[in-house]
Amino acid sequence: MRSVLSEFPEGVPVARILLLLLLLAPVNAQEPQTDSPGVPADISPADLAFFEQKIRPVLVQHCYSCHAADSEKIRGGLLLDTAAGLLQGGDSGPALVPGDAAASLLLQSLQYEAFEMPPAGQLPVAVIADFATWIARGAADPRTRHNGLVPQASADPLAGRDHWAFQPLNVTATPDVQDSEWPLSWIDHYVLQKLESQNLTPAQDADQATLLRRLSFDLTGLPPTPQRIAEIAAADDPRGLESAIDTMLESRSFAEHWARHWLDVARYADSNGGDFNATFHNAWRYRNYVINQFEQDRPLPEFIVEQIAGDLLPAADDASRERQVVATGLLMLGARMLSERDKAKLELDVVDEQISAVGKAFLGMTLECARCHDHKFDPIPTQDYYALAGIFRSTQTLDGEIQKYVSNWVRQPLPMTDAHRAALAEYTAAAADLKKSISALEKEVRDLEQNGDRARILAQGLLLDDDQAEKTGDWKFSTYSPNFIGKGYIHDDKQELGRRMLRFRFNVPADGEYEIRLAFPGSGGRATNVPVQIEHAAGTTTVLVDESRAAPILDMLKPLGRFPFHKDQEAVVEIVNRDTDGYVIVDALQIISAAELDQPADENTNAAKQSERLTALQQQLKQQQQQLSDLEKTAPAPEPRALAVRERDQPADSPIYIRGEHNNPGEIIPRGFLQVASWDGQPVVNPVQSGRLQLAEWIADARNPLTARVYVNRIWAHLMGAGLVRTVDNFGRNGEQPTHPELLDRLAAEFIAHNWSTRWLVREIVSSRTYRLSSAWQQHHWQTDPENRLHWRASRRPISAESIRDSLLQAAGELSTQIGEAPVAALGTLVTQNNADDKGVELSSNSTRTIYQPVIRNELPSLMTLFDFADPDFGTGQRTETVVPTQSLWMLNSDTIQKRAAQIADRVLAADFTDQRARIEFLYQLVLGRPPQPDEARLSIEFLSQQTDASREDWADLTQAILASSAFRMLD
Amino acid sequence: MKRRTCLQSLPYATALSLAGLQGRTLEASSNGSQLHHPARAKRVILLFMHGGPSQVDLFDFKPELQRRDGQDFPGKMPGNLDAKSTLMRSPWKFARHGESGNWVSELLPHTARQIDKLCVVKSMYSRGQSHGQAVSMLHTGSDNLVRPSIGAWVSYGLGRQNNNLPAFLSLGPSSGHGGPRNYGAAFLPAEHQGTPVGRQGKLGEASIDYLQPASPDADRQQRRLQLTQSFNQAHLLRVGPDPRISGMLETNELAARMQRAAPQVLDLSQETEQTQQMYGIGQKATDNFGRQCLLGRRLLEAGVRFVELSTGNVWDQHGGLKEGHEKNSLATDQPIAALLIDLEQRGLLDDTLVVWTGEFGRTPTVQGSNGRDHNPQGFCCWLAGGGVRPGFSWGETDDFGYYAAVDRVHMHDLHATILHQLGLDHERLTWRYAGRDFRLTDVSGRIVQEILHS
Repeated sequence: MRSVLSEFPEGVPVARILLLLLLLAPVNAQEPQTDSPGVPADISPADLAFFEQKIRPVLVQHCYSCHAADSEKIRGGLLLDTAAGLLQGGDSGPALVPGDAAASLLLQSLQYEAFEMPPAGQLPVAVIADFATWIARGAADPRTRHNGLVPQASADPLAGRDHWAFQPLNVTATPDVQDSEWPLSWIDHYVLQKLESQNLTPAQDADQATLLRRLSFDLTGLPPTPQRIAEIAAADDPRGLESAIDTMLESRSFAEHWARHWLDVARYADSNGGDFNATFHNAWRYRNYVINQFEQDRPLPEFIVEQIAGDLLPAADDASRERQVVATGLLMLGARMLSERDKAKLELDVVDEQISAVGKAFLGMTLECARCHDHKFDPIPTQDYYALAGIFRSTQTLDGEIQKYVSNWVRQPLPMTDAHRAALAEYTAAAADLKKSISALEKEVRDLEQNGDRARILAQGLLLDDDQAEKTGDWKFSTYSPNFIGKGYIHDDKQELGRRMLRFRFNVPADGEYEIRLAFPGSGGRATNVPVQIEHAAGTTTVLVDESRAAPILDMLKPLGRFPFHKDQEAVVEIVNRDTDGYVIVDALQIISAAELDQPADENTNAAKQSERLTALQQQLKQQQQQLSDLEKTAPAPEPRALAVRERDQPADSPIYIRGEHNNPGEIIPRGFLQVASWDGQPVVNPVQSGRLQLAEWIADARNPLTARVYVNRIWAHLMGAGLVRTVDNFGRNGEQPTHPELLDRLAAEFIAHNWSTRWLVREIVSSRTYRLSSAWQQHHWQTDPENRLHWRASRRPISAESIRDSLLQAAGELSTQIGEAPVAALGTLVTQNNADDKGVELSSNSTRTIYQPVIRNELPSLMTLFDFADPDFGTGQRTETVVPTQSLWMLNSDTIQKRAAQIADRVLAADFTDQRARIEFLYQLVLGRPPQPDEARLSIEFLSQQTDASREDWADLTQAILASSAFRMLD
Repeated sequence: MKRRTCLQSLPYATALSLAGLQGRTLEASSNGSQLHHPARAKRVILLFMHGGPSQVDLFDFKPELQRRDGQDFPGKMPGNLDAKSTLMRSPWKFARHGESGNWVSELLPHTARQIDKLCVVKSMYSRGQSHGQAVSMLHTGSDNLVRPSIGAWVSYGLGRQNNNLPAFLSLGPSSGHGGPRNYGAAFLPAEHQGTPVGRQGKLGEASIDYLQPASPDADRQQRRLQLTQSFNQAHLLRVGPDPRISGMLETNELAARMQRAAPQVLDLSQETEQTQQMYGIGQKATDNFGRQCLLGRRLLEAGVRFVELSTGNVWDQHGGLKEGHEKNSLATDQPIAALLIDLEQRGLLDDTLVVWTGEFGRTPTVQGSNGRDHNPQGFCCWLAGGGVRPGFSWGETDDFGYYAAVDRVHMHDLHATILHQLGLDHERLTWRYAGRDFRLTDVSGRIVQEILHS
């Protein structure tokens, strides 16, 4: 078989797929019947001739390849090979209105107005005219060979109930087995019965050390600590292991580990990813909510209803309210294309993502397939999709824009304690007061500086702005430095040295001595030697001006000296960029009579007073700024908000969007659920709400055939390595059949009967003998059942990326048991900018468990991506498992592994052992949670003895080799 | 069959080939004979001009636009734009070049001299008025959903030619506009995702993560590896055949080989001074992209199937068109021309498909006073080598270069055509996920036969 061309779902035998295809074949590939021999009596011979000569040949030649019952692919759901097909139309409605050519989609499409048909090129005008004539004459059409409907029987919800997953639970009595000694629990009966029917016997039980390691990873995601191993050994109690299980089930670690399984399904992330990687600052509240639910072992229906419609539930108290609002974060976590400019399209995309997520998470269904057409495989017609779409379109997810064209999303306020509210109010008021006072002070200071001194000084004498100078050469205008007179200043651009020149000409009002001042915004990079030549009554003086520093008056004006001028003699001041060593800048020239400047009068007293006042104000300003900064440092936490949905003001049903196109609405569909999984008396959408609450209740109902089955199957898969239905996220016709249907249904029924308790279910499964089998290989069994579908042994599987990191931390003695909170509080609105200068996100990490580390879409740590962490862009019920060289490279070369290996080695060396063997045993207990096997101990000793003097480095290398080995990466 | 099934059904550890481990690629069974049809190209290099280069300032000469500068665009403007409806002429001169007489503006003098190697498609259109959508369209064929990137599809379809190197590398990929999604594998097996080298249009140290140990002590490294392998062998002996454990044994060996081989390929100093100069290496303006192009060629030569080069998001001239496009053209023109010459000289151009494109083009109307807005309605790309018609031009935009008008080529069509040249049928290169078969071209895609060598 051509491997690349035919991808079947995991593990489905080809024979089964073929069988499925054969079963479907009669409905999907209906043999067209031949034209009925007789022509309908109401067609006139002339009309018939017209059709046969002008119309039929065109249809056959240009349309049948895509629009006939025997087309390879029927496009647009439209058949043009019968009269009925034309009238019925396709996804876009009827193709023709007999008698009304202009209103007929067929004609519009031939004219390239509605669609562009045929796509290969427009037909000649004469042919299109024939079609117009034909339709206008009534569109007589003798073709009647079949009913013209595209067969879509697979999507029929009534017929679809035959599929096993839509059948009610079939609860059977515990089956009898031949070897009645073997089973430990009712689960084992179901498993053993199947094995016996294949003449297989279960493998040996796993040894205690292997089993404890397996249990510890499966229940808590961590290896057993040396202390726990010692405790269990010391207890010498046949119930030792059972009580260890109880301890683990009750631990926070259990909740953290199992919550992570759910977060995979919930496509949890702390950022949007997508086109604008916006930070989800509040997603962590949903994460911790999930952990808390597992810690409290809340019944699944409550967990479901809160996540879909928590905001619509009555709340007993603030804590409940907060929990319920935060829970709806599930609906917010999807990655979105926030910058989609067509917001109507974006809204439907968001709704689609929510339907897809809910369908997969709770129902194991691929509902999104029904957005554009009836589901190709499952009994989900497009109507059902838009019944759900109406519910989510009546729910507000997006809200405003972060920046132009980039959508923002809803953040729901959370309850606050009175004390918090009061503290926040007090803080806000105090900060506002201070800010107000600061801004008033700033204004006063500015006024004094500018309108006081500045205005007075600039009003003195004669002020010539740069635009009053005669220019030679290309002087550039600029406003780059803010302190200038007039509209800006000019500079020489450091070009054409010696050839750019400015000339100010003026006449003084009276004979006498005048001070000449040059205005420029001085700063680094500007010339230190600008030659200014002053022609005055006593001759010509050239002054070299240093423009690299601010001028003394108002940071703008530099006095160049006092010179005599006659009122009748034109004075000239000339500036050339001759030999200058930086930018030459000129803003203005000021000429003030010495007499005016020398008046010691009240002007100057005033100035002194003003300056005193200014100093005082500036001090006050500084003080208040300090106060504000102190206040901000001790600010109470901001008002808590959740990443959560809210109801829209006007709930409404949605139209079908034909072919999923948002600008092509069809029939309005009342909000509702899947018809294939409906029952009498099921919840009915509340017309004044979105309907999320009823949707949640419908999903969480024990009568829903999918919910409990999907959930227990995932738990089974996490503990046993594969689901009873191996396609854990697809219970549809394209998914796999259960290997043990009776066991699956019994598990679901017992789970419901035990108050939908996850902890009960996990304990029940790990208490079975099936769970406790050895994973060792056996030739005969393997030949009969290579995929271990019958559970003749335990399935060996890799530990997760989180378990790798957490184990490293635990073994190094670094793992923190703290509960993590906001992991991305330090990030701004966007995690990364969409420009070429962005340096990427740097987050300081801590040593809390991996579940508390940030999950930044597009920026996941390499440990996560390399070791098959669930891609947060998709909901994932079961992670993929890969073995690739980049994993080896990480294990051999990464900083992380080398650093942790060294830490662990140091810990081992620091421990109080005299015997190398005991030290090696301790190392194995730390790293693997079990003592070394004899061959492992032998290899370790050999390795150390090869080195002349087993050093710290050698121990670190030994540790790293164990970490890189399959014994660490796999769970036997 | 998916990997797990495949692994579990293998009889014994020693029978597990590396190819089997790496998924069921064509390569894994037997190369070439498993293609859908004979291939014209064995590898692809995608030159991604991120940000959206302006077609009317580079290849799509429009006399009418030059004449009617400052007048209103007479057609219908697309929605959601910041551009005005006022036409703005190209500030650059155009001339016909080569025997083909195709137009190129003065911005690309080096490319102009290679014009007879190029097949310029002037009637491109795509989906996505914003970068995120359009960048995703270009890379994955979807403007809103997470889908495998084209490089991942090619890796999946063709498999590896060189087991010591990944089949797909992305040089200087952007972290924005979807970032790693644009070289990601989505639901395809992870081995098909692109390996990044550098970021944001920059090569940086030009290294692959974890290829070198943190503390380079070859002896220690070797003995750690040996000890790890001994442990794995012991584990295998203890528990019986297990494809994952034997997989780890093999991948450890492979990793060690990659560690020796890959740095050689990444090392540009092995090229002659003359070659480096041709690519503009050592010149400030062209150094970075020159190094990308040269590394691209070395990777192709070493058997990599799909190499993407990215300029980083630099072509997005809403303002500063003149300065921006001049700078970007200067940075890329000589290196790209050198790549074409070098590939030809080494006999690689015949079976290497070179694709130059942005995620969209720019409006012929003005934004601000010296800018142009996004334009997925019409833009240019060019192809070279790999069995496309050289010195050819296909399709037209309207008189102003706004909308693709004649012989329109959608992004899906470009994808279908690229796969076609590689011997892959875009309708049959599928992966089943969540209950249905996915492909790069979704439900569309037409092979643009007209631009192919018959």
